[in-house]
Amino acid sequence: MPTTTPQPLVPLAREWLLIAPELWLALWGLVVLLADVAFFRDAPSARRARFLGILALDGTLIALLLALARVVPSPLGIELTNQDYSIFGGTLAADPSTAWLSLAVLILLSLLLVLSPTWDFTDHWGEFFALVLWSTVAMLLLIAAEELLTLFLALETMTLCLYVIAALERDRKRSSEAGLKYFVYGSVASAFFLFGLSLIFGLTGTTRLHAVREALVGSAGSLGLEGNIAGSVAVLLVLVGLGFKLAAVPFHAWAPDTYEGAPAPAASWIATGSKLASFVAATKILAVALGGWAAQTGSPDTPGWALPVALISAASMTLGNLAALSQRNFKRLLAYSSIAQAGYVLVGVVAAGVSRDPARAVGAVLFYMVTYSFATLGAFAVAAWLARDLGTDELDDLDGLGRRRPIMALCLLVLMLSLIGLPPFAGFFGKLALFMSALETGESGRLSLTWLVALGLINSAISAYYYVRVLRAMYLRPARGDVGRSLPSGVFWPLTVGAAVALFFGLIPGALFEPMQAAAVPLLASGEDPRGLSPETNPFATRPTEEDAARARELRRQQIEQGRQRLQPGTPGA
Amino acid sequence: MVPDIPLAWFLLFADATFAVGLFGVLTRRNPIALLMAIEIMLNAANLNLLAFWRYGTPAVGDGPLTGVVFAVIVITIAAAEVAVGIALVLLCYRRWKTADVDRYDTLSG
Amino acid sequence: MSDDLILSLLWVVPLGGSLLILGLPRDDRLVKSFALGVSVLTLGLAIWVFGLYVGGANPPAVSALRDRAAANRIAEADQVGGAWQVTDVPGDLVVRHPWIPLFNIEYLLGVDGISLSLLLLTGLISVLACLASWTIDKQVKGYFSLFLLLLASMMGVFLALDMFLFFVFFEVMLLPMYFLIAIWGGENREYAAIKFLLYTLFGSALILVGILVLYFWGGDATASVRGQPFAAHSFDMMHVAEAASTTSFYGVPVQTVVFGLLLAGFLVKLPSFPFHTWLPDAHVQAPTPISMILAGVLLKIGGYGLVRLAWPLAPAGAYAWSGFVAALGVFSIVYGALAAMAQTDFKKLVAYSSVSHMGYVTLGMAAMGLFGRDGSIDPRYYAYGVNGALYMMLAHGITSAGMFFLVGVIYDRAHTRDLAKLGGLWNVMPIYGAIGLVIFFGSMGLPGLCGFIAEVFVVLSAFHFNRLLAVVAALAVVLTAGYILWTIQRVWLGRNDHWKGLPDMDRRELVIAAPLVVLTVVMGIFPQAILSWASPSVERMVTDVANAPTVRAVEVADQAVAAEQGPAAEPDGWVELAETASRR
Repeated sequence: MPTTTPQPLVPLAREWLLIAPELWLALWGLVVLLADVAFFRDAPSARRARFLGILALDGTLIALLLALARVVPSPLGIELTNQDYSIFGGTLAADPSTAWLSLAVLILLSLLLVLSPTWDFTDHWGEFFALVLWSTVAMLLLIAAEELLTLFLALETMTLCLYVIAALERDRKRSSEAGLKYFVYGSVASAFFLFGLSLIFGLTGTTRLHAVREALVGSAGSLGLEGNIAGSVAVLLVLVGLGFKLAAVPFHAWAPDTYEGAPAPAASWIATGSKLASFVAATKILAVALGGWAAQTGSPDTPGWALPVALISAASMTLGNLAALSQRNFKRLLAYSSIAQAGYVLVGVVAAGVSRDPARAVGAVLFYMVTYSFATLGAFAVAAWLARDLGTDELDDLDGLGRRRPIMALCLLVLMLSLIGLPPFAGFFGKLALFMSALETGESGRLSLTWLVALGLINSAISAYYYVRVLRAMYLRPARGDVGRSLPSGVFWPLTVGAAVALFFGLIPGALFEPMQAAAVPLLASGEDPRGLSPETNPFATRPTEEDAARARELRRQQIEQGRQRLQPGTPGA
Repeated sequence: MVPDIPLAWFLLFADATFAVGLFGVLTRRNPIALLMAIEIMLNAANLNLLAFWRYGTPAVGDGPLTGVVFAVIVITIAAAEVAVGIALVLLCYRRWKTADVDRYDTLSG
Repeated sequence: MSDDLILSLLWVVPLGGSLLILGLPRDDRLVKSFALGVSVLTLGLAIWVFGLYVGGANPPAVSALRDRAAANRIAEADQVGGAWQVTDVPGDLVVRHPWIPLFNIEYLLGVDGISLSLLLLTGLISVLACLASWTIDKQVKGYFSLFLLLLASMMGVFLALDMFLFFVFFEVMLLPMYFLIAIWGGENREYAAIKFLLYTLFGSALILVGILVLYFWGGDATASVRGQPFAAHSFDMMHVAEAASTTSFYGVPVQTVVFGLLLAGFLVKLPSFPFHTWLPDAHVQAPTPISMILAGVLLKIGGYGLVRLAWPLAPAGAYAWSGFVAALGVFSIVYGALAAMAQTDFKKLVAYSSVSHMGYVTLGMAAMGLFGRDGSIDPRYYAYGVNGALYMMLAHGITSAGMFFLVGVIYDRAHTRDLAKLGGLWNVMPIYGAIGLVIFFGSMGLPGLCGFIAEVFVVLSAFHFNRLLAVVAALAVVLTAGYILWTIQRVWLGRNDHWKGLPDMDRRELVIAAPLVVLTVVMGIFPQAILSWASPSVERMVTDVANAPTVRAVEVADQAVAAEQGPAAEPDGWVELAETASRR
């Protein structure tokens, strides 16, 4: 163990401090739940929603401050340029990627908590807020996970919380159906994913992402027990599992039903926070752990999963867009749109595997996911607004919004344009950055992803048709009845913040792209420079050294030997 | 000295178990049976984890117990999943008065 | 005033106006006057830029835009601090600033004769269209705000020299156009608007792919431009065009692909034959002033894209495609004319005449007779063609805007555009008849009016390129004359008591029509007034294209194929005839 360097803080204490926002949020979930039980037992539902919402928001803002302390220079600060910590025995990362992304997730959470109480859709407000907070904790851990077990645990915690909040809308059959469907699809996907992980563990003997990579690079071509078959099965199973979580075609069937059926705040959290975190996890698994899985692709630089993921990406954007063309429900439209958007982002994930500059590709993925999340949260805020005032969230319900609520309509217009990917909005730059990273591929396969990029651009043009239907409803249709009768501030904030993000980062994309790229570098930190091992970069490394590993191996060997002996007939103790 | 049961046997058993679970998921229409099938799939993965732990060697830098710890945590997760699943199934049962997932069809598609 | 300010103002002024107008009180007259003021100011700025371009002791017109843009470089001061420095050359009408350094995207504006002529056209047509919008009375604020936003983006398209920036302006144009058609259009407006939007988006997707392929292409590592090694990864049009025309960095195969993509994208906008179907719908549904803008300026953006991007960035690709593209142009000419003849809707007829006229632009660009008969580089005839294409864009900008305006005038009065119902209007509205005659004859290409010059140039150039195409294109003039004369007959001539008592054009309408009529005549009589400063830029572009080593490679390969197939056909009197004609 490297104990020679002077240590400014007790390592363990510092490690706990570095995950202070996560711990705080987990605790605050309990506080909200207990407050609900203790003080608001008999209060009317709307009042509980308001009070608990404010309570949850307060806790989130404190967590946001704690997360901010990780970004700014401070005793807690993560040095954002070149430091690269992993904490808790290499299970979690504490580096620019977690610092920046946790900020984004917490800001999204604050907007969600502002939005949620505006529409009184459930009787279980304490549970709702607690589960939202806990799912956020899981998202933050998922973003930070450096190891398959932690990653799986975080993923499961996150989705378990989301299954429940999807079913929370009262008196609505469709909500409970949405929850059950989400649950069934999600847990089957988890089973696939887990089975794949178990095979990866078997083939490489480790669960740490970087160690998996090293093992795969070391054994290039001759993998594991049954050659490449076990490896291929493992990767395909992992892809199936990830595909479900990301709602990519052909594993997308749950998404439209869940988005339509679940109450808008829950659906928005499934579409934004969970998707953002899942994409980070997917990128880590594919680009870091499985980056060294070279199948018979003929090119040593191209990971074996690149082609399947490229096909999934192509299918997602094409089918997602085509299915969205005929939708009448606003939330269902957003669901298909999110399927298509997942396709675009997967282009960047493929690029992270094949590009000459993977950090830029991952930076583009993160940029896109962050701006997409803000835009989608704003759009769901409108859906919640409609559902609150009209009880439905059909596209026609937006009729005449441009006249009645010009500012709100303008914000939604900006969000839709950003989702189409029209300049000068963030969606355009994000999409362009994704596609550009896909074209920056190695010498041999220079134009290999051009078809995917061309397909993506053509799909963007197709997608304009259904996004413009939203604009058409708002501006070209006469106003009907009670559209947007009153404007709660809970809808105002997500919508305007989403529009501001889309516009600002569209005009000055560097302001977001640079942090995201800074986040991408440690997220990818390659196998040649295993994070945390060298005392120079991490004085607090708790990972075992080579000697420890040798000792452990010896211990295992002895255990196995003892076990064998015990199994032999005729020996004492059998 | 009697040779060990080969690793491949464990893996084949795990694969078969996974296939049984998957078959159940695809064919069963009763939500409780669905839950059971999902549990079987998770346990197939557990079998894998334990077999690999028992036969494999840990990579450089890993402790000796990864596989077992993984399996224990998966068991915990599976329990949580059942709890949530049963709750959702009961909710749907109360609203539809039936335990057939094909009848839950308020959402188009 | 520095270039930085004046070039930026050209698009910032209308953009600012478009935002400010939303804050004005709800007074229709005030809003309209404000919008008109902003349009006039923009036109004034364009004229000022024109003065800077041609006037002064050392006018920018003397040196090529490429040299001016290259002199105006960005250097990164230090890698750590990341401060950027621009080597600014004042008075050269080029602006360069870093915008998104991560992807080497710059805020790069500049003008030469080609873009300046179109900037002036845009300014003029916008002022006239703004006057023509006086009759709008539905959501006036929104209308004029979108109108000025459209103007800003059109100006930006013609100014931008960074491909990314160009694309941004190109796309920003779509949205105001969509709403202007979809809210203020005719009965079937929503269909027409979405069709316009989707067609253009598909086209722009192809353009973007083309641009990205250029950006990422890794060719000959030894290529150098202006003494610096060249490795793509640049959005600077001038820089990439120089690489394409002086080095073999972009090989013939990649140029062929890139050219195909850019061509398809811009032909949608132009529009040319297979991609033209959005145009009649959009024109028929759009309100009159928007039709004027659409025909007068937006279609030119397609042509400008071809002359600024497609040809210079992929000269060898263009040369390889030239036969096909020229044939496409000729087919568009004939098809547009025949389709126009079959129309009964006045506005649709004018729309199809645009398709026909834009065919001349395609033909003029594509008639790449770059080599003399002895195999030496001799781009004289090709320069005629590109000059003709540019002149056709300007002439068509004037006449088609005029024709759509005339259609609007009669629709406002008679509330029909059905050619079968119109007729005998000369007796009722003599001024209207006189103006209509000039503008329609100008469009027809009557000698002495603006369309004629352009057609002659294009056909001359085509003659040197391919005699069959030239003959067909020349004969198509008969078709054009056919539908124009027939239209004049059906609208103005004859007797029709039904329209008795219709008021003639009022003062506002005369103010709009007068500049168009004057320009139709002046441009027909003094083409030098424009060509003297516009054609040097055209000739530079033509020379660059003709001298590109890759173009020579294509030619050599073609000749090798031809030599294998046997001796070429005997040259006959046609070529001499064409050469004599062109020497006059």
